[in-house]
Amino acid sequence: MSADAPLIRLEDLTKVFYTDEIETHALSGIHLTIQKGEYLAIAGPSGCGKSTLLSILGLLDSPSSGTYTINGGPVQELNLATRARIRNREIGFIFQSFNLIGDLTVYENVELPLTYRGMGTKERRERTNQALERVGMVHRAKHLPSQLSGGQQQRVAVARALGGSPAILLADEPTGNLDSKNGDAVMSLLRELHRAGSTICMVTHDARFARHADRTIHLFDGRIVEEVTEAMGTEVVA
Amino acid sequence: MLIPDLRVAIKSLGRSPGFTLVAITTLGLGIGANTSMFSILNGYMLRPAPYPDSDQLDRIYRATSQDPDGGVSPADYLVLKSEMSGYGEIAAYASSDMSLSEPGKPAETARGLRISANLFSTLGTQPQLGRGFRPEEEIAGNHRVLIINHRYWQVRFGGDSQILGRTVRVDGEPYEIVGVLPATFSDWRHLSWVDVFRPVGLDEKEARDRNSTWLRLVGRRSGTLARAQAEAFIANFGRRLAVDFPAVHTETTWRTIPIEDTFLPRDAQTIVVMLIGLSGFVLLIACSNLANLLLARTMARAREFAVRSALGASRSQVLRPLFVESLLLALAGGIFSLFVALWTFDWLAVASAGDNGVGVTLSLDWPVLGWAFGACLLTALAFGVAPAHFAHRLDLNSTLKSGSRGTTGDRGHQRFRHVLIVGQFALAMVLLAGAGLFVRGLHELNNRRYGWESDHLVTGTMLLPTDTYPSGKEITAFQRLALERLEALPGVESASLSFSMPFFGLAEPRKYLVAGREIPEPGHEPAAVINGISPHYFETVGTRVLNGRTFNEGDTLASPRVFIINQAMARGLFGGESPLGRRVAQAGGRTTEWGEIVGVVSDVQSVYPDPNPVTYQLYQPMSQEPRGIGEIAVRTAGVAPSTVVDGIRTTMMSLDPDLPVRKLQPAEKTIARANYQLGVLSSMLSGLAALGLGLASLGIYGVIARTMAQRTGEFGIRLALGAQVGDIIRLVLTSGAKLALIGSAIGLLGAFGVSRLLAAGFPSMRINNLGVLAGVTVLLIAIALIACYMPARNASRISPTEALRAE
Repeated sequence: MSADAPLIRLEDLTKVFYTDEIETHALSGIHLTIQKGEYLAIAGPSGCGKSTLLSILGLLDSPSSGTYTINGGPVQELNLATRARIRNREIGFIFQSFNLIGDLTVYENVELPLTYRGMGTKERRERTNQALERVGMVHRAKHLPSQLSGGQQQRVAVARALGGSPAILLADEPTGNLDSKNGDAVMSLLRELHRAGSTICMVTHDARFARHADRTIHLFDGRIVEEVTEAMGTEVVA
Repeated sequence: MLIPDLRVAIKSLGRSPGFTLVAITTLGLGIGANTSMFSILNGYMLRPAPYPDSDQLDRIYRATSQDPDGGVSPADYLVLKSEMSGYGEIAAYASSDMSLSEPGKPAETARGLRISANLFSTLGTQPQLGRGFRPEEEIAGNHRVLIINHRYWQVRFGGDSQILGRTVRVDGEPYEIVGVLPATFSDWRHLSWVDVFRPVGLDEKEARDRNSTWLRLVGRRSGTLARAQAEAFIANFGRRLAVDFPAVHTETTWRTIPIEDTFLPRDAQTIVVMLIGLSGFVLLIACSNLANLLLARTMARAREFAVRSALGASRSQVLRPLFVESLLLALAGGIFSLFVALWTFDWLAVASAGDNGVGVTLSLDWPVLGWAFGACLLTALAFGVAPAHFAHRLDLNSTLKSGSRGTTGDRGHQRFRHVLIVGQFALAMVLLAGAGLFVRGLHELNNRRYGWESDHLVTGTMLLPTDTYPSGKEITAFQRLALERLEALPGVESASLSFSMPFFGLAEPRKYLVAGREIPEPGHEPAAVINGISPHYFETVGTRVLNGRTFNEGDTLASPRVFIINQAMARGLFGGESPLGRRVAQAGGRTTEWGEIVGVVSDVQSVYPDPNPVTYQLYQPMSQEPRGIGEIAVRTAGVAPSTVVDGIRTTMMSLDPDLPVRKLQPAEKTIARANYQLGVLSSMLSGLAALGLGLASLGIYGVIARTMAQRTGEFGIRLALGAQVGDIIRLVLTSGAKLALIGSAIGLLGAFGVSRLLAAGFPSMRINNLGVLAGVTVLLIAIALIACYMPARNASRISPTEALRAE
């Protein structure tokens, strides 16, 4: 892959849901590229297809048509095992509701994706501690998620996403379950990570947080209707 | 790879101690019941006989149409013994309980066996102390020597190392102990629980006897003889007997069966296999419960699985901990099950124990452990599949988006849980109906008083030592005196002596000729089972005299022979004519002694589930064929039978202090003991049914409680719309009862199948009983309603405001 080649490329991507003979077009004709090191925000009103797009980007769901490439390789028709492997190595998830496993400690939660990779204990320990240090949660390593505040839980979730050094961090409304103070703190953390070189794709419906990104695309009824870049201003797509 | 999964599984189970405990207990009981039933099959059939080269050992039977596993007469045995060099070794034995006493110690009944001198060498064992029997000790007069088993040596004689040469009194005669068997000689499946062995000691009369088939034979083929050749040798021997002694041996065949195939009769094998099948039902119910519990648990953890998947766990990485968890539960349940099995062994040993306190001995050997382990693996698979299937089909997207920690499952899961409950109730119905029908049938069988009355009756066995009572004259004189004294006891209405008691059947078949009729071909004469009786026998045992007279003091050895026959024999031989005054004689004797039929009595039938009862019954005065051994029967009036037991014993001892009276107890107790094997089977079936019902109830409670929790919002809406508390309770109870009803209806089909199996195994038991089936159905529905009531009551107490807020 050349240095200018995008990390992610979506071409004419669609997603259709079928329920009781009713066809719902969740996404239509999505063309999107994400460059390495870019911070992209996906915005739009509720039900516009933001989360569906993020699920497809995260290989949690498959498109109905179109192509999806990561690092130049098509991924839309891979089998479940390969998708799981790519998810584990290339993608880091940050969920709105944190999705930490309640039975595991903070340390074990962060370590979890690394165990699926079959990584050795020593390397796992180093990476887990590094990730926790980056989000400032080392001192809480032995705590259970229930013993943490919402903001702390989301920082642990960020550490878990970072631990495997993924190609891209996918954040789905990362501040949605947080108060404004904790929300701001998490956004600052993402900004720091981006400055340190991480590629981030964040779904948000809050214009305030979307402004943290280099580029924002707006979805409406499953289509990209507007694209705003920090340097170039607004471009209406459709 | 497995260790981290194991760690995760242990941690996960440790965090839910309640669930883990319920799961392990449920599985332990299920696998335990199944393993216990297999242990019975293993103990009886799969464990090799405890004899060296046991594949060369065969049981030898004289088969008749009534008894394919019949014994042989002493005279036939002696002929076979003289020819056994062409076969190998053939040994004989016969059960013979003995009264054993020593100075200063109370007499006690010992389980005994009269054996040929070569029995131990035939089986391949030798006494640990002392010697075996010598050939000359087989002859009456030389036979007063004993060999005792190791357990009896320890228990009765305290393991006395000076035991050899010690003299004890057996049935009033002195016997010398000459040997002690090794502890390893334990073969309850073959010789039963024998304490004491003595030489067969055939007297002249016995040695000539070709009619009484009380000896059992076991043979060890010589190394050069193949099984088929040995079989042909014995069959040929039987054919020659039929030619030489047609009166006794026509329509009989001699056959051999490998000893290990004789430990459990064929019909009993079917029953044991059926028990394993039914215990499998209990295990299935347990698995259904576990599947339901695990499914609920997996649903609650749906989000966790989705997160793991999102973080890159492969399908196997998500499912493996689930399987490991199932396996761990199954293995823990398996360990618990071994304790259940050990408890069953102890229970069975006590329930099957004879008078000497020794019963069926089962143990945890490799086949049993292997079975338990296999059951663990299968159950882990059985109850682990549903949650794994659920986790596998999980919609990651929607699960991750959902706000709650878990998921309640879709309609498909609900349906699946309902199918499990219906299945559980169907299986419980089969178990309950099977047990109910059998218990009812056994109750009827045990309480059948066909031609006799056992209430207010005491029975026991009296044995007159031949030294003191050498001839019929002394025997008859003593018996007459004893009956006079017994009848004089306060509270005693009448007393009698007889060869056998009707409760257990009249075991001695003989063939008869009818005077004035053409003499049939030898061996084709009509057969009847006989009983020798004292004068007051019929009034004592409660058999009705229909015609003619009973025997009296005038019927003696010197007077003309007289007989009383039963109604079936009267009808069969004489049709509508009166049999009184007609004459019959025993066939096959050296001379034909005609006797007159002086009475007709009602038919009697035993308490055993005998499929082919002999219908012709003939009675003769005991005084016309005196025997030293006889059954005492004493009928009481106005007092409980147990109150006269001591008086009877004292009376007999006052007549002869050396006289052993065995098993002197109320007849009801003796009868109950006689069918103990059926009692044990009945208890096992009831136990399985109770376990199945308990587990199914737990299952329906769990599912209904869970369903109700999921419908909290719905109940809130209903209550807000004006539903009454009773409406909600009715709604919940109806949903539970519906599942139980469907399950019971399906189970009825299986119940009919089990009833067919039981009816085939116990033809004389009345297995089909619509009342029992209806009762069992009502019970199942009632249990289901009780199990549903608690969740129903909880549902009715929901506050509409809170329920709607939760929604």
